[in-house]
Amino acid sequence: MKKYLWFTPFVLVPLPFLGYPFLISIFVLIGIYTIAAIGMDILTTWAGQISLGNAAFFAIGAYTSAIMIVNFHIPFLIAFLVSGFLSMLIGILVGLPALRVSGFYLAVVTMAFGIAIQQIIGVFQITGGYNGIRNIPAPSFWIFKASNPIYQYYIVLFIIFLAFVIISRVSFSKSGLALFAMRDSEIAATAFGVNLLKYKLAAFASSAALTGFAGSLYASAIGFISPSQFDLTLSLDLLAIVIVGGAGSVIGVMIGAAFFVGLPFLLSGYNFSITIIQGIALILILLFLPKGLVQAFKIGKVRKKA
Amino acid sequence: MILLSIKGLSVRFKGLIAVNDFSMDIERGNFHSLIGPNGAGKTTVVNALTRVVPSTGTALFEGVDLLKVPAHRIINFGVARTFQNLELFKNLTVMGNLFIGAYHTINYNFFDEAFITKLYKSEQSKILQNIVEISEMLDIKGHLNAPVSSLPYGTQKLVEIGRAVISKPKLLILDEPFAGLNDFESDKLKSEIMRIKSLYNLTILMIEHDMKIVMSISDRITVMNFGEKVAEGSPSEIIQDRKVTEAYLGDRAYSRG
Repeated sequence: MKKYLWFTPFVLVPLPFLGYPFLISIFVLIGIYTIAAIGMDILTTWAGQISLGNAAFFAIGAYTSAIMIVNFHIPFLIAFLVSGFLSMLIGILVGLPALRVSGFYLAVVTMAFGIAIQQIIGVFQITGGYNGIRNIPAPSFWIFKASNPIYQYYIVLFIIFLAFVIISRVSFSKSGLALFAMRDSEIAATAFGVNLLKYKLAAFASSAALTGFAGSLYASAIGFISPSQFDLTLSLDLLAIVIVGGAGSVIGVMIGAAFFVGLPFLLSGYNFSITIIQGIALILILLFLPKGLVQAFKIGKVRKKA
Repeated sequence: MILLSIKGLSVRFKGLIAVNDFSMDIERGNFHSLIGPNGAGKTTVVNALTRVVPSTGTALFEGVDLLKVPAHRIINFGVARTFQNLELFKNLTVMGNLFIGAYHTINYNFFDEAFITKLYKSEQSKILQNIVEISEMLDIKGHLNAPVSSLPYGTQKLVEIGRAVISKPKLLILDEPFAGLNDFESDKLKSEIMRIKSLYNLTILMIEHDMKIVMSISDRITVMNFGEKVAEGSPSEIIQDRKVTEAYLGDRAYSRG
């Protein structure tokens, strides 16, 4: 299967020109969740730091972008870049406690951060309080019209491609292996020169940046954001996408996102609770494919191989 | 010539004095063993030297006080160690583990990795060559791509030593390398260690309980008990030292003859 992987760009790149805007908008959404889940993957599978607060980075990205576009009429691309950057800075701040606490304690600290951000957003005027921000315009640029999400589609595709390339290059290099080493034994990693401070903060920074980018894209793709969209469930969903799809593999995370985001659309025509199907599928996957759905396809590098 | 000079080293854990005013000199090129009963503070001395636990005193290593160096910079001065209960990167392959051993010798940065620069390629091939070399010497080349947790205990110990050696240390600290090995594995490990020592001109500090091995392999032995140094000397001196026997068997055992 792996040798057919080169084929995917040739399918994904010309796809928007077939002219199914609704289908493309679903792909965009899957892509957005993929980007955020890659951020989660870097933090948990690579660096071994558990976070239940990544929804906050998603919210920070979404709100930064939405406020800049709606209130200040700043072009999408600039708002998009600023969102990721701001999210990254806050990610570094959140990473600081990780230098002292780990495991369950870190999970609780990050969860508290996630809830706090959600509450803070609900209080302020500029964020629209609990009513949120409405009518966030879909981005348009040059030949890309707002009516068809082609522009966002290519941005999403580009970021996933970039993440895929960088991750595959880093995974058997100094920085990738240093993250793995830190995850497996902090004491031995330190003894061989790995600076934990640097790598923990780098992991939080890159995770937050990716999640912030995803949030920015989300705001424009959905057109409406409110604090309730960025609750603990979102953080847990991101974690579930990583585990269901395949931890440590970009392809796996993509499959996981497709499962979580795409499946509800696929089943929306039937009068049946999606939660039940998803729940059952989740249990079955964890039972029979402990390395995630990617195991069934036997593609991409599963982290144990690194 | 003295490579490492420890003076007045003390380690306290909330009132408990684990190591008290400990001093020891290690000659360059020596095989120096640190022995003593369980809980004597041997591993704590090593942990203090590698900055795992905070301590007071000085430890001059080629003119640098190791106790003032941050933990992740110790390796840069040429001090590498193994751990009492194996601290391997258990989800990585043998190759990944050895790679981290060479971590501090790698000159490229993240951007070289992302853009696959010339520097990256040359450094990467240099490291892979080193890894193959070390693994051939330790006879673990066949396991390079195996997850380290799938290997037998004795082989994992070899990997841990390989990880320390590939960092090109001047001082190699081995924390109970022979514990848990059978006679056959012990003999093999002993000859490997001696070979590595002469091949790389290493100075070795070893913590060990197996007296037969300690006596046969050491140039010098330091004995600890209750966090303090009890005796020091050549193996033949130590074997006759009354205090050593007391430390191991208790003072009454000695007086009963």
